[in-house]
Amino acid sequence: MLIKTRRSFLRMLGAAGVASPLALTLGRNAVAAPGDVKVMFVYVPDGVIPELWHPTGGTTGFTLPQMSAPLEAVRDDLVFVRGLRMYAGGATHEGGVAKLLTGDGDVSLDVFLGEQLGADTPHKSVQLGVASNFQNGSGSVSYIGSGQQVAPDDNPLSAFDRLFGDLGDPTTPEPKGPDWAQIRSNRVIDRSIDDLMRLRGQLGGVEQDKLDIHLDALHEVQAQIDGTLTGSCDNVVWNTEGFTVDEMDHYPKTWEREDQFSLVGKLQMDLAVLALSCGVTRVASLMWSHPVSPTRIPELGTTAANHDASHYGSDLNGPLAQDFIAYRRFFCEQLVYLLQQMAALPDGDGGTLLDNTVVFVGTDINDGNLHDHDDMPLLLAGRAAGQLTTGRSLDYRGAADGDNEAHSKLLVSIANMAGVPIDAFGFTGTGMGGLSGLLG
Amino acid sequence: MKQRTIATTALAAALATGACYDGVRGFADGTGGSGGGESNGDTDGVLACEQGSPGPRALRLLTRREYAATVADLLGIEPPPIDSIPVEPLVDGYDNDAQSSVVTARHIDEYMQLATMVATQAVEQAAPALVGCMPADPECPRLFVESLGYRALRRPLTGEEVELYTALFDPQATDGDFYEGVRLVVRSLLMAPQFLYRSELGEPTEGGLFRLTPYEVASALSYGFWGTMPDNALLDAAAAGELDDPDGIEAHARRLLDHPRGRAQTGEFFTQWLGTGALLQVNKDAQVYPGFTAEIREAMAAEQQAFIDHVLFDGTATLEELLVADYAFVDDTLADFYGLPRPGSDVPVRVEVGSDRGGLLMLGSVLASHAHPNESSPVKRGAFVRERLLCQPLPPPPPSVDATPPEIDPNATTRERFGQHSSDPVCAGCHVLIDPLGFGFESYDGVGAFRSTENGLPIDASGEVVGIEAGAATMAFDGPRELAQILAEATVTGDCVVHHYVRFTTGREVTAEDACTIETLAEQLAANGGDLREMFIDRVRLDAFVMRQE
Repeated sequence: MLIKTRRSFLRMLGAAGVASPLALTLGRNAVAAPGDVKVMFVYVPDGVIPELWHPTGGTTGFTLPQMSAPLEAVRDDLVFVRGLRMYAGGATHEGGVAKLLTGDGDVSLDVFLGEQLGADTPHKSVQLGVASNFQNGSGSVSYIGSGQQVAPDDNPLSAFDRLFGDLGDPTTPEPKGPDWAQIRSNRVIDRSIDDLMRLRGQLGGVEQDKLDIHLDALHEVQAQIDGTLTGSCDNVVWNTEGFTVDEMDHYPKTWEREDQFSLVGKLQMDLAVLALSCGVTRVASLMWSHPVSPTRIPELGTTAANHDASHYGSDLNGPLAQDFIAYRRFFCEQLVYLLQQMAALPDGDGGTLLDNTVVFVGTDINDGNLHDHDDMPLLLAGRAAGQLTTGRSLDYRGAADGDNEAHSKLLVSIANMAGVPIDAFGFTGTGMGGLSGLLG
Repeated sequence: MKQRTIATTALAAALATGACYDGVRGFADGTGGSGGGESNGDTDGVLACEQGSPGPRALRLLTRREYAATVADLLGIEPPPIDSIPVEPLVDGYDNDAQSSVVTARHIDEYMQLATMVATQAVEQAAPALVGCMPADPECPRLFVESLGYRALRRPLTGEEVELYTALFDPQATDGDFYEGVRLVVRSLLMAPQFLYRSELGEPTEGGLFRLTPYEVASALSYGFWGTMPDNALLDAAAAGELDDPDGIEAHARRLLDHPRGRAQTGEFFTQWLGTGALLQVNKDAQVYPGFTAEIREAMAAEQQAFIDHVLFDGTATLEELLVADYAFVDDTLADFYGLPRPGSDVPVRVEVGSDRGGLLMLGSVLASHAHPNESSPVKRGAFVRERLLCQPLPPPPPSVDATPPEIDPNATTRERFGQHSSDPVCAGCHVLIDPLGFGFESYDGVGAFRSTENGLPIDASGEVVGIEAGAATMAFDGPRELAQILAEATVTGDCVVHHYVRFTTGREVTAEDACTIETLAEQLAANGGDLREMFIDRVRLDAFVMRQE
């Protein structure tokens, strides 16, 4: 957010003085209304080795194999979902990433839910990434319309500024007199809205969809500038690691560098959690890299990059498979961190942020060798204000008259959990409604 | 029969002989190709075919590059950094797809930040030049709004707009500070949709079509040839009615094209067409290619620009010369990397080369962009030739095929490792179109350096291209120079560069609707000996350049 003084919030607190990097100071205005479910989408690139990912052994007493084993730490917060196929649409990586959150429709679920739920939050939805645009030839998970992708923000500093930049430094006294910056920004935005309305009026429907999207965007920012919509936190603590952007980094840029990947990921996870917790938004998405991922994480000691490793071949003990397992385990460990941060924050009436959120974790293909979309390795986390019973492993193979069930039904269920009573989202070839047996 | 149709028929024949799967049908019958339809003659709402096909009325969002250049030219400041504006999706390799580029809340946020920053900068650096009148003059706000607004919105403001923008000099907002008013006007102009979108809407004319206004023509010329707003000469020409006919349009088009900014924009077309933007972005494995430094990347980028610049502006400007040039442009750094004698220069200069360098196919930027981080890639290079030089798009691998690449084998060459693509009938049907082409590039590793051996084994750079002309069998070649010769002699290559230039300049997908435009330009290109600069100019002489339809 840009309109008030742009002060930096990079607080360098000594480790001794801070219990958690996400410690929020007192002074939060409002608590979330009970049942105010938040939604988060997490994308991990390039599929899995199916036999090393899916839990075995039943709905509750399941065992996690090598690739998903790190999730043991949070198994009671998870619902593994297999047996869902991403029907229709395109094939392989490009087709998969386009379908994952759209169900082969025009709009992605994060953008859609943001529009449905975002009336009371300064940002309707927030899309963050970790080098998700870097060398991305396959596309984003988020779409505002057919072919109109929403590129995640890969720079955590700029994302923080947009989401929290209006918070004042509590040590500085409140300015007296008119807030000139706000007054002037209001004038500029008002002028822009007026210009757009005039242009739209002259065109008689030509390019109307594009201008409508633009107008919605102007209104959203106008509400932020007006201060009509604010988050509930007076102050946040973030980036105690002191990440900065080196202007001399051109290719790749600092936030795209391999040696910054895990730090940027942590900052983005922290930011998403803060945004949800502080009522800045109710919908957030995080894209770890992108399909056909060139990601290599130095601290893992792997040789192949993620996508190369995802073509693991036939030898599960071979170097490619081992590297692929290492990457997937890394992403699982990040998910554990994310869920633990959510579980540590109070939210609503005596619960935690994790209690009141549903997190969807998905990828663009199933089997890294096969590039297929059958039996997708998906999972959910969080309890959606009591609507989702966690600690389960569900199997929908054959559930649609002998075929795998459609993953678009899972998208419907997520929308329903968030309080949006749709019965279709994208593909409906296996029937209407959500995923049976998921809720409750 | 049109050349492009020949190409798609040849492709269909090639595919039909193989076991390529059903998904490929759409590509074979031309619906996925470069537009193989015929068009009517002169009927209502349609231009005569040789005048091209009018595109849709559109608003085209400025790309980030265009935004930066426009702001710099408008305010007389350095181009602002544009990393914070959301990345455009690359559609078919182009960053200016108008349909996909929508303005989200994050865009608005970033545009607001940038506008505030550059408004402050412009006032600090050059307030008198920016404003153009004395603050004490009570008419100054209105005069300033009219003059800056004219250049910012790329047309004269309406009376209503002048009033609305002048009203920003309201003491309730400026606190009586004149320059606050100036900043508010600058910020508001940079946020205006009339600034952010290039207007190609036109005004109603006969036959139910729309004709671009002279100011819209000025913008189409300046963004097409310079990637930025019209200069004063163009705006003046629009005002004076000089852009109302093809001769006047051509005169300015030539002026713009021959200018250094025209050369730079031409280079940008080649970068997007050939997909070499990756050169400056793509990761390469530092353990495999320790010599591929940032300096080498920059040297290769400079090589590409200097070579294209030379051919287009000091040479024959033909696709043939671009393909089979027997010289290259290198500086000392790149000469070392290529194993050529140093020319004694730190900027690229022309050097004579043998058959191992020279021409588009052996540009470092092309070879490095179409490769893997740690090895070469016959598939990427073959696909590059198919899709970017022949306009024969390839379908993706079928769902559920085992796409495991061959294991890295220290005892085999890349060519040998990819043998399954030709021996396995499931793969061969489609890969016959790709791998044999790409094998011809195997003398160049993943970063474009020449090699005669790989893992101690001799390189075999023989290749084959199938489906290039109707009735032609497989054409054999050895190394990229011979492939370039084949491509230079094939009519489909000329059609393809026309297709891509139309794509680059229109900012939208090329469809069967564009057949007339492409046919006309391709015929004119063939008739003028393949001179690409003349093709660039021919495009703006067509009615299609100034006409639009709903």
